[in-house]
Order: sequence, then C-alpha cells, then structure tokens
Amino acid sequence: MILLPITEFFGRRILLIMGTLGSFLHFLRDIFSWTTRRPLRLRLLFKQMEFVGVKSIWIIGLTSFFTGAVFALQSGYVFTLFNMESMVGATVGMSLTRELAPVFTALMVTARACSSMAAQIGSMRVTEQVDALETMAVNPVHYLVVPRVWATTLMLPFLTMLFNFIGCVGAYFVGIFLLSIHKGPFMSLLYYYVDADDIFGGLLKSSIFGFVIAAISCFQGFKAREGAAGVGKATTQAVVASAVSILVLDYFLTTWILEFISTPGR
Amino acid sequence: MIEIINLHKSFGSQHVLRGVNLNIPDGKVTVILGPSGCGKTVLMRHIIGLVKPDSGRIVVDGVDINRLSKHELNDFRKRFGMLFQHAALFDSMTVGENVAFPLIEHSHEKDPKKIAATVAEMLQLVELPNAEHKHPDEISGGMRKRVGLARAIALKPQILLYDEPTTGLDPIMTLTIDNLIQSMQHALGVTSVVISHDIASAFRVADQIAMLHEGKIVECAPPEAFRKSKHAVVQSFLNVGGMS
Repeated sequence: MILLPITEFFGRRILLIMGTLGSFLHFLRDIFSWTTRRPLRLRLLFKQMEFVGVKSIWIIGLTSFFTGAVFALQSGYVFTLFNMESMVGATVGMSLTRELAPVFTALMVTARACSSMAAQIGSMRVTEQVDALETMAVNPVHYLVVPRVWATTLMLPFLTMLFNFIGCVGAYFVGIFLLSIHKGPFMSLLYYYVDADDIFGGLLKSSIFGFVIAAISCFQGFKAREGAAGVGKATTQAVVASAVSILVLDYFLTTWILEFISTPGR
Repeated sequence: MIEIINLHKSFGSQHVLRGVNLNIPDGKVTVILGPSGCGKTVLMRHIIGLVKPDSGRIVVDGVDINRLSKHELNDFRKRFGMLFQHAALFDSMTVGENVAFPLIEHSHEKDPKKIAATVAEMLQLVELPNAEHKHPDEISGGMRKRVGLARAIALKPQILLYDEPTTGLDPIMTLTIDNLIQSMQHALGVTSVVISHDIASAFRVADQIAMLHEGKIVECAPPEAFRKSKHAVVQSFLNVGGMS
C-alpha cells in the first residue's frame, strides 16, 4: 500500500513528460508544415536574423575573446611542463571549432535571444494577442514561430564562425604576448591541425542547436498561461530546457560527426 | 446563419457547456447573456474555432467548422472579425499598424497610401480620427476597444464577435460602444454576436437575446419577449439588473 503514492507520483510525472513531448512533436510538425506556405514572410525572417545575429555580435565577440584567452592561458601553463607551448594555438583552435564555439554560441544566444522569444510569445499568449492573430486568419506558428526558428538556424553558424575567429585572436594575444610563444610555430600548428572538417562539423552542430533552442523557446512561450507569473515560468523553462538540450545533443551530434564527418587519424 | 447544435465542452472535471443549442440569424445582433464564469467566452471561442468541442457542431453558413482542416479553418476565419474583452491589440505596433495588420495580411491592396486611407476610414468609423501614431499603452481602455473594433472591421467581415465589449467601461463609454455596435450593424449589415453580462447594454443593442445558464441556453427571444420570459433564472437576472 505504501508504494501506491510513490508509483502514482512517478506515473503522473511520466505522463506529464510524455504529454509535453507529444505536444512538442506536434509543434515541430506545424513548423515544417507552415514553413513552405505562402506568404513566405521574408521581412519577418530578416528582422529576426538581425535580432538573433547582428545584435548578438558584441556579446559573442566579448565572450569568445575571453574564452580563447583563458583556454590559451590554462593550456599554456600545462604545455610548459612538457616544453610543448607551441601546441597552444592548435589545441585552442581544435577545441573552439569542434566544441567550445558551437556550444558557447548556442548558450549565449539562448540567454540573449531565445529567452526574449519565450517572453515575447508568452506575453502575447496571456494577453490574447496570439488568439487575435488566429481570429484574423493568421496562423501564429506561421507568423511568430517560423521566422524565429529559421532565423536562429541560419544565424548560429555565422555567430559560431565569429566565435572561432575572435577566440583564436584571444588565444593568440595570450600565447604570443603573455606566454611568449613564437608566432611561427603557434600559427603553423594551428593551420596544420585545424582543418575544414572540424570547422564544418562545428557549424553543422551550431545550426542544429539553433533550430532546437528556437523551437523550444517558442514552444514554451506558446504554453504560457496565467499572467506575468506564467510568462516568467515559461521564460525560465525555455532557458533551462534549451541549455540542457544543447549539452545533451552535443554529445550525440559529436558521436555522429566523429563517425561520419571528421577525418580519422589526426 | 450560425447554428450551434448540442455543444458540449469540459475542462478537466468542469463541464462548462452542457448541450448548447442556438441559432444566430444573419444580419442581426444576437446578445448572449449570462453571469460571469458561465461559459459565454468559451462558447464564443467555439464559434470562431479557437476551441474544439467535446461533442456537438458549429455550422456557419452550412459549413461545419470542426470538420475543416487547420489550413481550411484559417481561411474560413476571414469571414469573422472579433473584438476581444481587453482588445488584444499588438503592443509592439502603433494603433495604425494594428488596424492595417489584417489589410496587409489579406487584402489585395498593396499600396501603402491606400492602406493608410482605409485605416483612417476605419478609425473615423469608430470615432478615433488621427490616432494612427499613438501606441496602445498611451490610450484608455475605451479607446483600445474602439481600435480593436476598427481592426475587427477592417476587412469588412460577414460576422462580428464582441467579447464583453462594455466590461470595465464607464457609462458614457459603454453607451459609445453600444452605439458603435448598432452603427456597425447599419453600416456593414453584418451578423453580430455579443457576449455580455450587462443587461442594459444588451437591451440597447440586441435583436435577439439568449440566456446561458449552467451550460445551456435557457431562453432565446427578441428583447421584449425576453423581458416577459417566465423562466425563473431570466427573471432573477432581469430583477438584479433592474430591467424586469
């Protein structure tokens, strides 16, 4: 008898999770179904690309510079023990292109842009603006979600590329000016070890992250209920679910990329 | 003609609509009266397909809207205009952009000057001339409702739905909105459905009044016949509102 409340508790949790997952899959189907419908809403797409991409440049620039710099600093001190300081550039370059840049960029965009998407759509939901769209024969997924999701999917690779470049600049400054590594070996090993497969794999991951975080954030906004508290809850859930999804998805995507895209033996 | 046939809807254990039957005639104002929380708004959301019923049908001009696909329903909604209880204006747009929104989305007119002229005409109809550049948070509740009405009529719909149009307004603004409902009726010849608990307002605008009680329509008649109804709930509602 004592087990009954426990099984009931877990049963309810499982039903809730499965229900939410089912609703999310329906939501994804709606996104794909409305993507190809006219009007294509290119103006909204470009507006969202500006919001997600152009307006994130400064924050991505700042975080990437210091990420590259601190990674060079840490690896430089370790490599000094083995007299391999010249490997700092290659190590930072490979880490950035394969892992750090796509993951950190997605996390920064989640914090800056996707939280705002969840809050904006959530606020529109609780003030009946989403219903108003529907009554005017404008599908809310078509109008609000499709431009946001594809804008994030398209802009994340550009921001990741920027992260790669500025991160390497940060590593260069620390490596050359603080750790006194020679420019020649630093740059030549960076060129030698980081190749197109690493960059392409990272950009592919970032694009998938972009789709997932924007879809999750818009979905959470759509689920918002019960006024300002509901909007706050939806925003928090959007950020948490997006961040967790990035890290979990990263493992599986990396496994897949290492298996099918990366050149073996390096 | 809108036919609501044996409509049932529950939310969890709460059985809100328990077999609603109602005919809404073309070109008339039908007011659905009832106390707060009796399911009036839920009923209105069914009429425009925002909520799916558990059972029953909504037939609009011979089309059962629950049998339409999502895309068909989206197109079908172009026949409707709806004024929300709190106007539901897009707060990221100005008044003019709000009214222009359905025109930009659906009308064949793409010339910005002609759209601006239509917006001005709609705002004139709701007695808000030159309000295009104001922001929704700069105007009063009554003005927001009038902007919401201008947006609802912008595409000249066949059916206008009003969700509690006079709730929260002072008596003068209530009278203004009632006059607007009547003038829309005369100017556009639309079928209007008004959800309200304001009895005096209902008698001012209605061609037909229906009373929703415990999830069912208990009375439906023209205003004078409604006033003489023998139904206890109707009489009690009229007594409280001082209209018996």
